[in-house]
Amino acid sequence: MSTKKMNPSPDDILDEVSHHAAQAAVARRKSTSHERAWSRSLGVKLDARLAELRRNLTPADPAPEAAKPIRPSTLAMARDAVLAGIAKLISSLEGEGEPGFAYRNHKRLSDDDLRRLYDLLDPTARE
Amino acid sequence: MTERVDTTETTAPEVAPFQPSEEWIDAFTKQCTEAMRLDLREYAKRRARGVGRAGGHVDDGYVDDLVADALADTLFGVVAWDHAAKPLYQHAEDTIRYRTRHDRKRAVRYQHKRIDAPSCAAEKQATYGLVEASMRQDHGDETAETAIFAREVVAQVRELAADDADVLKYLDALAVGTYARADIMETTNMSPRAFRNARDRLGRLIEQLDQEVVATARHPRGVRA
Repeated sequence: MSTKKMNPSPDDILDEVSHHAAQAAVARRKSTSHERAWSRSLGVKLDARLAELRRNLTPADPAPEAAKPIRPSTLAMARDAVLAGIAKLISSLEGEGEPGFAYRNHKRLSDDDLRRLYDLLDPTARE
Repeated sequence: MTERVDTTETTAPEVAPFQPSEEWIDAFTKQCTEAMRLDLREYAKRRARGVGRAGGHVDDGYVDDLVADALADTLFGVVAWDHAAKPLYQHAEDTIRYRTRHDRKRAVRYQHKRIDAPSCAAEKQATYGLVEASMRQDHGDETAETAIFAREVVAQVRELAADDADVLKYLDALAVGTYARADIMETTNMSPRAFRNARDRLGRLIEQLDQEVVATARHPRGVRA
């Protein structure tokens, strides 16, 4: 496709002459160590902005949800009963090919935390 | 009577922050190499000399900023880059070209003082009135000063290229609006190699002209070194 410009102004012509001369200079460029250092330094600044643009693409953290109330039947269970129920539910889930739990130190969990975990694991609670 | 408070919103509507796609970011990251930035700097350096020739203040910082701004403004969405339409280098080169052209015109209009410029303000106004009206009709926003300056520089380049037939043909092609490499080669009957050589020689002539301008600035006519 031809890119001929009709009736170019004197400034258009000068701009074009300067552009072609600059392109010729690029073709035979020899950079100095100072210029290479400048280029690297500019690259670092541009990389920082690129990283920011990439970060902005990742979805924001979901808003925290309020915990569902513990079922009255679970609330009535004592700690030992809850722990036994959790152990039973976990073993049944592993049997169904569900992922297991690698860390099961329940000592630091409060009674209510355990009750919530029990409700979470109990399939009847999801209905 | 209470004073009426105008609550009309006068600020510009908020624009969503610039957020390009992942493909766009990948394309920028891949193409913005050290070699590309150095090529752009060389291009900017040569274009900046044209601004200096017109009387603008040009130094290494100006050249560095031309490249850094072209790329940073792209990353901030100030200048739009369609990565599917053109390479990043081409986009940044176009940006530098546009900005140096603007700076050159500005330098001519506000700083360049011609020796034969009309001395009387009224005379200057009258001359520019007629010439500018005619220029604006033919060439958009081009002023008489930028046109005269451009003609002078191109005439000087032609003078320097006096015995170089290929460079003169090259300049003739540019003068009639033939800008693309393929079109210039076709118009001038030059082979790719002859074209490259002619373009190199044209580049050197411009450099020679720049050096003469610098020498004249250091040792103006009538002032002995």
